[in-house]
Amino acid sequence: MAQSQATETELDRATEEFKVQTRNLGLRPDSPRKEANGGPKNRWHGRVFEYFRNNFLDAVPHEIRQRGGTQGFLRRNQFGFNVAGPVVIPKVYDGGKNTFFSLSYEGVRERIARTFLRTIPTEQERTGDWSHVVDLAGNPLPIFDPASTARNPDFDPSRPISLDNLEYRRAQFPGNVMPASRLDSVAQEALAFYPNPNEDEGPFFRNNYFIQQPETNTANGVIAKVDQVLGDKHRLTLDTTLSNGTQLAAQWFPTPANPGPPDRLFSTRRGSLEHVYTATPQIVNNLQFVANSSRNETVAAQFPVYTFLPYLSMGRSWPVSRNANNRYTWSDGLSVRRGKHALRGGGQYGRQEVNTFWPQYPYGFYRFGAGLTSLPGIVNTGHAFASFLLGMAEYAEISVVPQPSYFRRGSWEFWARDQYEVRKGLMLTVALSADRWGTRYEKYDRQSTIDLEAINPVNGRPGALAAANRGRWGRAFQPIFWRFSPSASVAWNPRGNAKTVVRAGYSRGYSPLPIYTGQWGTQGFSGYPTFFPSNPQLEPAVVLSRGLPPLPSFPDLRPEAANDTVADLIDTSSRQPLYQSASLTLEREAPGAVVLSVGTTYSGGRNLLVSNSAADPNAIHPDDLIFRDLLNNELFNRSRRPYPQFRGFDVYSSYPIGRYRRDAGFLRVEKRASAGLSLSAYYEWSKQRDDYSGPYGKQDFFNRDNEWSLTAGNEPHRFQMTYAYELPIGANKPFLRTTEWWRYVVDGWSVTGVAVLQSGNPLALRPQFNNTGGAIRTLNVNVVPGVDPRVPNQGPELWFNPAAFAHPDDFEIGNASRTHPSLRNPGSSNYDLTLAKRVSLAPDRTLEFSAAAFNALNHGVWTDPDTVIGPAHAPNVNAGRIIGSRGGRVIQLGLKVSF
Amino acid sequence: MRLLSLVALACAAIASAPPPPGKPRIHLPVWAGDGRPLEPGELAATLNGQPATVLEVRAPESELLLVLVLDFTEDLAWVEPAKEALVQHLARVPEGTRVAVMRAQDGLSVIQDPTADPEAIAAAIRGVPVSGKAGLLEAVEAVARLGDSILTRHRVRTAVLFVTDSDIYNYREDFTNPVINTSDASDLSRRFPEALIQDKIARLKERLSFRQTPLFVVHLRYRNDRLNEAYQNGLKQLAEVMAGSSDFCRTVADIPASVGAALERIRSHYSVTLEVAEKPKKALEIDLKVNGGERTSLVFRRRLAWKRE
Repeated sequence: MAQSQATETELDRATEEFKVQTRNLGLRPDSPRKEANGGPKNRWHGRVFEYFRNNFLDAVPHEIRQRGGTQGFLRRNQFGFNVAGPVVIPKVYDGGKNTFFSLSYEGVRERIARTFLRTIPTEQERTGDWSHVVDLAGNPLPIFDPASTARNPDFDPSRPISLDNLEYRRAQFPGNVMPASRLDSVAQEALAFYPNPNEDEGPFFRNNYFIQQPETNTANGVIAKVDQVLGDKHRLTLDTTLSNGTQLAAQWFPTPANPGPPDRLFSTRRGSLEHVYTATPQIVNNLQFVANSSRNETVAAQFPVYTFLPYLSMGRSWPVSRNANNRYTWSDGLSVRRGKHALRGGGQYGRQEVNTFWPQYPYGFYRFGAGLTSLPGIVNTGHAFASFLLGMAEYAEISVVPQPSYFRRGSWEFWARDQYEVRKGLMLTVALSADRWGTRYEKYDRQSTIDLEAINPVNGRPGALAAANRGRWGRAFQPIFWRFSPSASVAWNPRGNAKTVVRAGYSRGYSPLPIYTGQWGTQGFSGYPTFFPSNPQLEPAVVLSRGLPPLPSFPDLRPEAANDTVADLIDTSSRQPLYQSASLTLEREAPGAVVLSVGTTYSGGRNLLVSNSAADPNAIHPDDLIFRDLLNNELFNRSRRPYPQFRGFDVYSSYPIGRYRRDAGFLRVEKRASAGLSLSAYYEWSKQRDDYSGPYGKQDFFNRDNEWSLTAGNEPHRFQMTYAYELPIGANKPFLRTTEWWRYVVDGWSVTGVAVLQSGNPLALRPQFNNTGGAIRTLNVNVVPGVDPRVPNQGPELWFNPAAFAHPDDFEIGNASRTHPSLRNPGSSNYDLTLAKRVSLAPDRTLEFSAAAFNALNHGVWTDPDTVIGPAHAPNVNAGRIIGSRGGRVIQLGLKVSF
Repeated sequence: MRLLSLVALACAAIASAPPPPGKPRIHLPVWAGDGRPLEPGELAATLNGQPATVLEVRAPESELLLVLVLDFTEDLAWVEPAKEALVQHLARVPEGTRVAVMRAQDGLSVIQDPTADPEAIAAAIRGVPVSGKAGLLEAVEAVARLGDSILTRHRVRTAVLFVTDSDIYNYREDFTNPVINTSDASDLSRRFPEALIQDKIARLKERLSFRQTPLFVVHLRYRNDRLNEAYQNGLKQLAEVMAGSSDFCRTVADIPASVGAALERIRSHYSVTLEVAEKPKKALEIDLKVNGGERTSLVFRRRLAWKRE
């Protein structure tokens, strides 16, 4: 009994000690204010930092070293601070636990060399001397004089056009040299702004212009937060972000004809206000308002765009633009616990505004093709740059944009979720959301599309320009529906064993139609008059020295106003991108703080938004290739299209017809920290297919199943490992424990790393020429039966066997898939590593030095092989070869004081 | 009335004077690996290789003051099972045990002074809301100091148990280093986003390495995104550096067992008091053995930093 009393006394005393200490620490309502106060010195925490990069620290990138170049210039300083703690205004206000702030600033000053390797005309070519020019097989490339064009009286239309059966005859320039008197004066003036080659990477004068120019970046930004507790039940959080940036882009040419990216000005603003109301411990309401605004502006010289593939073009698109993207979101969420049910529900209203001034070619766009200097109907003759020298463009366009566009969209979303503990070891979660995604409208109704049901007055065929809020159309062209998205998941411990978890999940949901930056869908209010010839092999669209014909004025909302253009087409159907996914995972906890997970996932989608390369409602059917060279005639070509009054449609990455499917299996190993080491490794195998992706586009717009192939970016094997290791030396560590001065040397070392290894994505092979009269936008190659596309010693000299593929004949499509089912581009591996040294300056003050190496092993990644397959009579000698590698080690040093 | 309570607290403070001056002592939480009772006389200890005197062994049946710190900010679905598990396990507080309840979110504060009354404990636990900003990292040092002040001045075992569902993204202080300048395309400083968390944990470990109160963490949600992984690794390291343990629940079903295991581990620990012959110049390397060598291994902390005064 006496012993019991003594026990009680000791616990009583300990209890009293607890009260005294918590009171002194300011942890009780009755704690004296002076104890809780103190100056900000001890209650504010944060850091001051500087990250430094300089080219003398970095390895010379592989792509520069391979051509004997030296290290590009780099100076980068990234600096800033963060401070956080209770709001304290001496003698005025002490926020204590109730008012807390956090303030971060970061600035960047960077000057960095950007490198590019391109092909431009040789000095002889610029003067019209093509005597030395060869095709990709090394054979002389003949340049023909369009002024000598004459119909061939011996032409037999029942036979394909060939050298033996020409429809038109044309004389080659004598000696393959264009007389100076024939060169266009405007083209000659433009050439004064076009640099000469400075490199000879080859072969055949290709890759002859190496660009290494500085880019300058400046940025300043601030994040400020204030968190205010109001009694026991209310809390307010205010969060703001401000950032301004300037990017002075690398100059590809030191002239106004610079085709490189323009200079850009950026600014972002973000603010949020959140109110949390805790009605009871089981009922919490969260109300939030978020506003986001990002703006960017581009500034570039006034110069027309001249393109003459495969050479680097002159001038740039969107030289001057101003864009703002604003988003406002009001949301409210309520969480309630009832028995074994955890219920959450909420709603959200969001509004998006995109204000955009985005003229693509305000100074004109001129595309030059080989056709006018070719032997009509014969590939591998003529050259786009030769046509440029004659000033003969095959296509021209100019953007007339009188005013910006102000796009708007509002959306509602409501959702509910129940997490139900069915029984011990079995948790079921079901959720349902109802979304009403608004579709795009314009503040002043300056929006248009092609109404595919309206009759065009010019030809009496369906398809005419329609403007928003006029006729049968409302302010938006797309209908709005309530969409319901269910999801469910299960977490189950088999036999109640907590070390094993089986997870399964399924979800299905719609995504909204986005508002992109740009003034697509405003045709009629703004315009882009286009100019094209009746046959691009026989006559030019415009001649540079004669200028453009007179331009129409805008607005022009006549139903036929979009005729003869590539018209903006907004899909007016109810299709909306739909995704669904399912997953099954088995997790097992193993000894040593290790968790193993193995699982499989499926995801798929339909009605996905695709771009012009994958959607063309005005395409010509491949069967029409039987008309062969007739398709070169603009009128005939257009007559074979569903909507012949239009040259084509621009669907601007917004046409909802894409499909994809992804199947994957993964293995994850996570080792939580022990003995200073933690790591997480993840391996995934995946196979993703679709009918839209790829660098070049679809061949057959009419049979989508023909386009079902590996996704262009699918990397089937991916392994990633992150790790952190505290070196076992120093105080409180197993080795080199000391209290002598050199503890400052041995204490506080750690290594953190990330390793990523991944296989390459599928090869996309393409024929060198597309002689289909403009009927087929993207051609695939043919597969040569019985020839193995793989090579025994795969390497940069030969990555795949080009003999396994053949160039399709004229006016025929290829039989290979859009992406190859087994050949892949080179894979990549990257190892990033940080070594950090922490020095304790005071009990709560440390200095940290870090050295981070990105691509620490200075591993070069092979560039992709040349996938252009030439015709049998002029094969691409580079096909299957890799011309180099890229990448290099980058070092960043960091210094941070934490307090 | 308030004045009276202040006077009473002041008297208590005087009563809780530090132990008489003498050689320094350390208190170690020890677990008997074989589960058999550990008798005071059968222990032999060394500190930095030198024999040390075992002054006292407080058995699992002896007095225990448990400081339970709740840090609930995320999801009722995970927190409520944890609350119920705590209430159930603490419904029958063993004799000689008192539980104090604190909350860490939005700043550390006392909800319930140490008590053996299960109803008071249950009410305190159930009354903690699931909202606010996570506070574990800010609270852990103050709680450890509080625990040490009790452990070193009173002959009671003391332990701290954090139960949390905190997410590293929900701290008032910024540990996630969000992008500020979105236009800065060359930013490499965020390729290792866990650096700030690792730095915070390293500083906490350094400051907690000489604390003697065992720390236990039950995190209700195992997360494996990169930042939360670093955070939970850090929590695990904090618990280890303070001779405790941590558990991370991967399903709601794990929660009752994890809570129960943590409480059982706290209940079952011995508190062994050793005399330190002289103030060491470096961290103490500790070894404990059972005389005679028939017993299986003991579980105890092998290293304790020595705070240089």
